[in-house]
Amino acid sequence: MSLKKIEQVKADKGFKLSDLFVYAAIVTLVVVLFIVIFATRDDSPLKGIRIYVKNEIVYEYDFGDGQRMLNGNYTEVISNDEKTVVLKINTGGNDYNIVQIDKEGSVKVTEANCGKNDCVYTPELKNSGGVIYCSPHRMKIVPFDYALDDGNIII
Amino acid sequence: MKKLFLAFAVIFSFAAIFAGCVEKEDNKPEYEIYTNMSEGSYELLLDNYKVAGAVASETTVPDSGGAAENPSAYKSMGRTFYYIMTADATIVVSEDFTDENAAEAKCEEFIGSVKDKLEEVNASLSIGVEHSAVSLFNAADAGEVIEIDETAYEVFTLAEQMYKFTDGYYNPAVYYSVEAYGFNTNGGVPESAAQLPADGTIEKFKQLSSHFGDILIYEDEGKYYVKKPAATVEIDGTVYSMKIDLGGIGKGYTVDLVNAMLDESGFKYGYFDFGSSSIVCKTHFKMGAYELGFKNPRGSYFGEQFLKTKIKNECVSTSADDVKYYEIDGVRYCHVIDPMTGKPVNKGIMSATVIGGTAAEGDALTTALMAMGKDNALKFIETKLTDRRVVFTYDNN
Repeated sequence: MSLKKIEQVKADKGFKLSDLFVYAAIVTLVVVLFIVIFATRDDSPLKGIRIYVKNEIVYEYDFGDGQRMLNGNYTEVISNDEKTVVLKINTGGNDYNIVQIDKEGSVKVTEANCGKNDCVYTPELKNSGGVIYCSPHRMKIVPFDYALDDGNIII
Repeated sequence: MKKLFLAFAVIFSFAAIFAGCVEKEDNKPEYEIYTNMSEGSYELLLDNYKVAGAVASETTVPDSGGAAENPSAYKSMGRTFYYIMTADATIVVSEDFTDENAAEAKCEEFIGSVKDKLEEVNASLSIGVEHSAVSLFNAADAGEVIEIDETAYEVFTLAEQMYKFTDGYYNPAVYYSVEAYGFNTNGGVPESAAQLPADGTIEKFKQLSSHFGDILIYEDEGKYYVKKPAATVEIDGTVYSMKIDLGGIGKGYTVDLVNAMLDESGFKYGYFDFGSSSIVCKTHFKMGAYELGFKNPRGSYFGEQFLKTKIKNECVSTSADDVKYYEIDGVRYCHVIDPMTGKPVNKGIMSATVIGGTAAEGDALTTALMAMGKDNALKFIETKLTDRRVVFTYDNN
């Protein structure tokens, strides 16, 4: 490399105005994509959840205030320690779902004897954007702020 | 030298990742979509689904107008009713809650009236209710005349119309086949080929169901009657007369009733979903049109969708082979029976959806499309369903 070229390369180091435009464009793109992806969905943190069996609320967990047992016939607390609450929801006969509530703010179904196990495969609830539904047992876990009609219909 | 090595390492790892992706793609089975929806009126959500055939039609996708002027004042109320014709039904309505007490009372009253209507329809059509019109028909002797209620009369009439309209591909008299393959019973499904019903048995059940068109439905002095066909079949010394299940079309019929109730009570916003097989979508208070997602019949997780479109003030019905099914020796046996064979449908159509028209028609049409097979279904859509949006998925393998 000739001395002149080395001088040239050295002179080119650092930011040029045109470089800044490129960086700004990339940053803008990232921000826009981020907003598009995240602003359109309801990801407000989970304030609490209600567990329904048929249409009855049988249990409520408020991540601020803790649990409220609303119908003991359906709900059995298996364990309740610093980090988690584990519940057995008895939905009739020998039917049950095991629900695990993480006190940091999430809930999932870890086990069920409904055969289909859609509820176990449903990702854990971390925000108010979804529900966990066990259709054979008519058991539903619904976030406090869940929009009953968010305009999405699945068939 | 070091740099060159590094460059090669980077190129190789990219190549490996790329190859990995390509291989993964190849392993994913490819499914085809056939639709008469115009390009641009729907969105494809999965890359292993390809639109293979577009059928010309004049259907349009609804615009997003009609939302409430003050959506922030709106609240939704809803309720699910269980075990209605062996399915669950959900009503959701949205109202302006500025006057909270009045709005709540209005919604509550409406939801109550939906409950009453569902109970009424269930009492008339459910095969699980001992004295329902359908149960009385099933228990009657061949050739016998049975008095039925008005609801049953209407649904019997609709079923007969749809049987004719679909050239027999919709046939509610495949009852014995449904049972023989282990559906609608408490006995469980077959677990091996030996437990499947014999071909001879299925052939006889098929013959019996082919007499569905012989049912006589009539009104006399304000009362309603059906005459059961005289045809019977004998299998191993037992004589069978026709049995029917109007659960499918009955759900659609109920959706149409609730749709009319929503209009009469002045509810513009909300929906009514019966067993996820028929739904009426009114307008969404915030978005105008609803986003309608189509469930992937080969979904890797619950609720995965392969396509979406918009729907407003319309009914939608769907049938799919993944609702109730089992597999034996790699063959899928689902609860939708092909009336032409008496066996579960196996012509490659995995799901069929119809948007538009009445839900009762939609329910019968989607079942019929599943049984038709690809070529007949395409012809049928092109000639008879030009005013509805239709989508079906097809497994080429």
